[in-house]
Amino acid sequence: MFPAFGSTLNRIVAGVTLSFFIGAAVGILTQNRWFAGFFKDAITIGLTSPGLIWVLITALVFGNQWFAPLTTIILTTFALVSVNVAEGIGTLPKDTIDMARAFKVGVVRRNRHIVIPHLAPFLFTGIRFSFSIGWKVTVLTEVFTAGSGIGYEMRIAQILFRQDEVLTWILLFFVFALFLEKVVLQAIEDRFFRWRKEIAST
Amino acid sequence: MTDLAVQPSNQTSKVSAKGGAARKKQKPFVVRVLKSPTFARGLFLPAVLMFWLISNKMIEDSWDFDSSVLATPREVWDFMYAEISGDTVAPNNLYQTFGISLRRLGIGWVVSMIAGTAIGLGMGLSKAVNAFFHDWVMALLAMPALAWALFLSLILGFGDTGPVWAVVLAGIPFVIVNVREGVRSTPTDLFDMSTAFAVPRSKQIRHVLLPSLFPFLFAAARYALSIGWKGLVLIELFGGQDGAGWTFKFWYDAHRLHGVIGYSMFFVIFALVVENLILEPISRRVFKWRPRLDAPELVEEDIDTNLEKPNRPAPARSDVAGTI
Repeated sequence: MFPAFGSTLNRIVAGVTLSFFIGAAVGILTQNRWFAGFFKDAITIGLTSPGLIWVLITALVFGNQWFAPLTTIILTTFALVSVNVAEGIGTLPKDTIDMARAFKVGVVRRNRHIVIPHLAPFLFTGIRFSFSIGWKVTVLTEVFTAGSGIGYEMRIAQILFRQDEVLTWILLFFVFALFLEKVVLQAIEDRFFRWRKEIAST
Repeated sequence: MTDLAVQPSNQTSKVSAKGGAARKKQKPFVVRVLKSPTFARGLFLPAVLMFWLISNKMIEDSWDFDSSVLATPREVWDFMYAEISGDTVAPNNLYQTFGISLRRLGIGWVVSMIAGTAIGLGMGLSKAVNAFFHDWVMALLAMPALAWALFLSLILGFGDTGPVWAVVLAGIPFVIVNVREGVRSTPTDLFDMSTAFAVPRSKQIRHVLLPSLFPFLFAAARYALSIGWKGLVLIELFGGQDGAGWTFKFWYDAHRLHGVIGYSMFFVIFALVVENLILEPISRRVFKWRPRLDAPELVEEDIDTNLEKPNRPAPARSDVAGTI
């Protein structure tokens, strides 16, 4: 059981992290009007197309390679991060930044104390959403392409018509994902927002 | 005196600003077009096609496996054209396939709307009912469609029942949660007033409860439809003998990448058509009487925490987010 969980968790973490950086990069780029136009359709497609499509396409293109699941996670979740990042940048507190500039606060300190704290809630919302979609997509890719992981075990059990094993894997996977989402992510978020009680109250 | 002194300088500055604008406009036409966001938007598709072709070429050159596995845009287009004109190798053509799936989606959707509305009304009106269903609805909300697909396909076999159940189970928690929220947000003062003026119960329901419930119901219906469709495709993929998901899998099993991409395109087009040509006009028509009020925020998760986090930034995502 634990090897399966381990490989699934590896894929989820790697995929969500990569998609976070790519999504954030796209979100920052869309501050420019030209890039906003360029990425408009990409973001719409990323938000609306179901993960299943990408799962099968990457499965056919990449086969059993390790980057097939990663590509799927990135394609299905980057748009959520970039939309949130773009929204966060759009609502940056101009007056505070202007004040910092007027008082000659350095770039590093300005980003550290104004920009990043302001963006953090948006980034967390993006991560949360991309995680909640990411774990489902990861297991789905494992069903088709991987040789290990929860999805693979589920598929094998289904092919062998072992109803009890299918149910076991489903429940384990469900509990596991809920644990990651509601406990682990929540703990990180609470820690991060300890200074701002009203945001951390979820 | 100061006025006189200020005014001309003001005017000159205006003039110079105008001149600046005029000069800006005199940038060569080509540069202006190249820099416009619309052009950038149009550039996206060619860029994707270029990337596609170049990476195909690179893979063919560097790897020595049979490159006929990879599809070209041309092949995808030919496939889609053949499918649209009803010419296919698969057992059912495009229209029959989507017809079968739509029938299942329709039945499941109606069932989930009726049952969900009933349970949601109960949960909104009675604390006991709410306590009874609450945890289960929460669990259903988080359940991935894949779990239903594997589970139901084993239990109910390859017929129509499994897919219909999958649609019901995927959609029903959203209907319940949104209806409950709608009942809770019904204006109590209007209720009190109508009670004070001895308005009959049937009229109260017709004129107070339903109008305030309707936006929630409509949002729920839309979301149940889109999430039910995704659940349906998934279960047809694992435990079906026909339908859109099954045909998608048919091309996957045949290792025809152009078929898989082409069918994906059909899914996307189908979703866009349903969203923009059917649901959007209906929603505009239904809400014509309240032009300023948008549809309410859709409740998707964390159903009890919405009220307690006023300062949280509103999560940005679309109605039809890519959940599977």
